[in-house]
Amino acid sequence: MFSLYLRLIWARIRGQMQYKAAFWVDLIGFLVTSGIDFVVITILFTRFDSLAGWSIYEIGLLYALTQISFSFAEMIMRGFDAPFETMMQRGSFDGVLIRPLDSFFQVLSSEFQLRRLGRTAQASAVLIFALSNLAIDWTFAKIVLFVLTLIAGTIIYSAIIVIGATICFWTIKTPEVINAFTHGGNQLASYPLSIYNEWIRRIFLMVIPIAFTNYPTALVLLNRSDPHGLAAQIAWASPLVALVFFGVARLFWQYGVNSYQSTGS
Amino acid sequence: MALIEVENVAKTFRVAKRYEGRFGAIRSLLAREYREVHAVDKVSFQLEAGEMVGYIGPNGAGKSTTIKMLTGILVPSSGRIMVAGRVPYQERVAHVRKIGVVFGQRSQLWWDLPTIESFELLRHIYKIPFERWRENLDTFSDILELGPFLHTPVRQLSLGQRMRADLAAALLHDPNILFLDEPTIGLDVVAKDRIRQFLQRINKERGTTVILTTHDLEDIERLCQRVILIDHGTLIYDGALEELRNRFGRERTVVIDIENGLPENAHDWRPIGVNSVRREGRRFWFSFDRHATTAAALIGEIAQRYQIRDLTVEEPKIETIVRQIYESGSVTV
Repeated sequence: MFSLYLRLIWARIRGQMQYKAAFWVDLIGFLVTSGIDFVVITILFTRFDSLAGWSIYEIGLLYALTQISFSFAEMIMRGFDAPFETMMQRGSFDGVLIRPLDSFFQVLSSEFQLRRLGRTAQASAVLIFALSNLAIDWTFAKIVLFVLTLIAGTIIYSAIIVIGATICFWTIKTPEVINAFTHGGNQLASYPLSIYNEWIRRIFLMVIPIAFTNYPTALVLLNRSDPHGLAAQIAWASPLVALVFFGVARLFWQYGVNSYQSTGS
Repeated sequence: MALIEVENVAKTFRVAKRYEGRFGAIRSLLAREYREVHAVDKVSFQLEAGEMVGYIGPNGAGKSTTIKMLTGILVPSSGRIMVAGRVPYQERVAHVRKIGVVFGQRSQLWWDLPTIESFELLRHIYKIPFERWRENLDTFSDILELGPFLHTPVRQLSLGQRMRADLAAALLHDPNILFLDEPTIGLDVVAKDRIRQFLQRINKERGTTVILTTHDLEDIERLCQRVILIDHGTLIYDGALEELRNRFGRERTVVIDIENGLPENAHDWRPIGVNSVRREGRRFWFSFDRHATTAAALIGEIAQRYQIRDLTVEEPKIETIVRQIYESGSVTV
């Protein structure tokens, strides 16, 4: 199955490479536009020295963690993004149902957006900027946690994209509210969770667990404590939270497909 | 047991009512009023392996909906569908492994890649043994003349080439049943002919059951022994094409060229049983009801009045018959 996935993705990438100029323009475009986000944050810090006690470098770590995950999710889950909407509008999801493969697998392997590496590159630059100015006492456990958080974050954002796509089975178009959780969510997660009021904190911890893409892990790495009493060690639960959330998204997807089959396009 | 069994199958869509105006979208979301559309209504038929069947009907008759239920894309609202012993939507993956589907209006190929790469990917998707795949590809390339454009990206193919490539793609995994939704739409005469010949060969040589929907009745005349006619979601005819002609095509036409010297009242004369007479120079068309008179009797009668130089008897065109059925909305023409 994995080799078939690679084969299909490779076919898509070769397809994209037919338009080389567009590829590079987009890659650089993502690099520049996503870079503006962090520029805004640095401008903010020319007026203040810290935000809720967090320095610009600490914020940079939060930003980089959530952004890198988001860029990976956008790259891998591209099939569930705008192309899926088009698929729904043109009725070409029928073509998925006549192939002897799981529909989720087919949509997943129908697209791969390499050009999102522009965002990854920009976020990685911020990560280097942050880490070189922070004195983190790296231990083996912290390195493992760091990597696990990036994986968990990617899975969390992926699940949100899947949920957005699934809504298309009823609405044909992905509602804008999904962007509020993907793009909006990762903007919000660029700042310490502690600055938000209680119900926003609850939503991002328990309903749409975007906080798990960076906040608890940053607490552990920076030896900080949460002013509202959130235990930093909860960071280790990130992969589990991500998998449960993704499982819910996957079930929702199946429900959507069944609903498509009985209502038609 | 028949290969395909369709029993009392119905498909009802619930269509949300849309509101016009400024807040129409919001009202549509909140009010959620539905109206029911009966796309397919209690349709039953059976198909045996190796048959080649035309599934016809006017736009919106329910053809595509039926095909989608047979292929497992849609779940019937009621009734029972069995294809090769399986309920299509329940065992979708196992079911689609054994069928081929071609949508005339939508390619199933990888748009940006050379045609051959779609065939390669399908080999992996269907896990076709390499030898068998090679053999099929050679055969199809040969008959459909795919060679010249195997390395051209699909998006650059002409409609006819794309259709041929799609047909080959649908058959690489040796399906038992081939579903074709408007396979000749938009094609020129030569391209249509090539595709018809190919389908005939596949049906004959491989015993592949073929079900096709079409608006081009020549497809049906050339390919199908059997035709199923559907209108407003209900089945109105199922049987041989000849029978359809005999039962509903009562009107035949005698075309006569006469020698010079027309009698005075040539315009008014109308023999018994003749519905209409048309004249152009020395050529006459006498359209008559087969049940009211015979061609022989009519010709005899005409010969008594005119000197016949040449004559032919025209069978009713299947297209005319079907148009009459569509217009009247029933089989009792």
